[in-house]
Amino acid sequence: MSLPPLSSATDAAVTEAGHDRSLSAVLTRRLTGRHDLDPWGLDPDLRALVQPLARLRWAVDVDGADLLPGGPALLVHNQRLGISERYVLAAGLTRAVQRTTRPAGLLDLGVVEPVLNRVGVVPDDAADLRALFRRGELVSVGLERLAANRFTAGRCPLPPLEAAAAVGVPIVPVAVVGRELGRRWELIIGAPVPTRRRGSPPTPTELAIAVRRRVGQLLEAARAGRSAL
Amino acid sequence: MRVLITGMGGELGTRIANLLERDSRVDAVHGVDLDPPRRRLHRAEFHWIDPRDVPAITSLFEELQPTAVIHLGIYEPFARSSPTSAVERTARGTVTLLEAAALVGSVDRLILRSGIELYGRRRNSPLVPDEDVDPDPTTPFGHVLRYAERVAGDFGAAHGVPVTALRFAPLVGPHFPSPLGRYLRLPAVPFSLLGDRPFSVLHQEDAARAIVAALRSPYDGPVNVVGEGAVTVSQAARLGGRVPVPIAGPVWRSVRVLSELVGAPVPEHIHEQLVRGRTADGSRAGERLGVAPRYSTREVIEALYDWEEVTYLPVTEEVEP
Repeated sequence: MSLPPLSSATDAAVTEAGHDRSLSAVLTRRLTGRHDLDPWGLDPDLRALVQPLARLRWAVDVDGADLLPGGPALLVHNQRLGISERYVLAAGLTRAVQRTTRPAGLLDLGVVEPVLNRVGVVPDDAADLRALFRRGELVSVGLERLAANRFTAGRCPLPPLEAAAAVGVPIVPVAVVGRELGRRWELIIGAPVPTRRRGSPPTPTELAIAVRRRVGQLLEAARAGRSAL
Repeated sequence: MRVLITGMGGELGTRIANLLERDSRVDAVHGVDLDPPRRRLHRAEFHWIDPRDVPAITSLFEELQPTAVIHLGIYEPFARSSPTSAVERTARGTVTLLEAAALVGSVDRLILRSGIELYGRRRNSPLVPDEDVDPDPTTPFGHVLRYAERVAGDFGAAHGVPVTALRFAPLVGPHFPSPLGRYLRLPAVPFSLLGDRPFSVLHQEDAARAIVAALRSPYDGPVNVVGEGAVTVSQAARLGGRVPVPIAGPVWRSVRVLSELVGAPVPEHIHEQLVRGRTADGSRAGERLGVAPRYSTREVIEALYDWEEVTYLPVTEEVEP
């Protein structure tokens, strides 16, 4: 008897592996140890299990997905409480562009870290980010949390920008708009900020200012749109 | 090019000697070690010299005038020697070798076998460090690797010699003496219940190819050489049809004692790997050396379990001593 597929998600990490996603195939792979694992611990089978739960929890509208570069990129998004935004972003992009997004920002907290690693979360230190970019990954980091105002962009951390500049990957501003306990969220993706230009390359501080301003503009546009409605 | 290989008696050293014998650009291949080579050598010459023997190594350098040195005399604890002996042999052997090289002055390139153990696995250290991360070893083997790299780096800087430090992931392969390999081949393989973290390994053949590539086009600096992908300890056990046994905290001490009793001692760096995982970014190897490992980590682990068991043939004839 063939069991139903675990997920109909077209997650690139899932489909690129070319694996059978039926429950029996997944269980066989786990029992024989033949499941995939990347150096950060991402397990595409487990991620495929989580995808349907993410779709149940969040309904995400994505605007500007065509602006995402085809290769590696650093996605910088706003955070209010910093609980759901990174996972909303990953879930939204998985559905919109069929690519895996690696949320960065994970403390080495014993048993918690390996569990989150399995579904794609990575540390946000510069060395890990450089290695991820070299592998062509999309990595997301959050701006400083601003609980009081959900339409304001906080300060931008410098180490991820330095890593992006070192490898030469573009930085993509993203506005994540929604309420922590709500189901509906909106992602607004802006035009990439290049990290390489003729003459002197932009400094991380210049990049941080530019990215924060872009995310702020996207949030303003989102607020204006909601006001109009 | 006249090549001197230290550690030629090991699996890796003998294999590299075999590869260089076929290379027409290499005029002569010589090697030293405490143990004789594992395979037949055709053109290469083996010198049974203790690498710590200063007069013998110096006179060999004066006689051979090597232009390239491949330093494989890096002893992993519990691979072929005890932890104390491994540190002493590696440290003294490295200093002796480089003092002789400095005295003679014929060397124009140095390839050093190092390892990703020198990055250490402290809390909040990078999961996948690249070569730009400062070494921060957390085990005796990691410390001795860093020491060997420093001594080699000082030699290179003082004499204008490019030093390629090849930081290998743990080497596992057919007949390769490896404490990790022995541990994973136990019938029951304990793994950390609280964090079964990924690690990467490297096939000895890929290590040999990287060394030969570095010899041909020397690069001055460190290069990680790591098999693609990663596995966890429990996954490796399942790949080999072993029984993964989840354990935590203080139980590891008992596991290490038991493991040593059954012939698979677990040195500090392997214990760290089992509990904290270990991998690195190996993309520079492709860029700088033009070689990428052919075997993925999972393939290497699968090969680990495909080795032929030793078969004892029945005695058919007795010979008087």
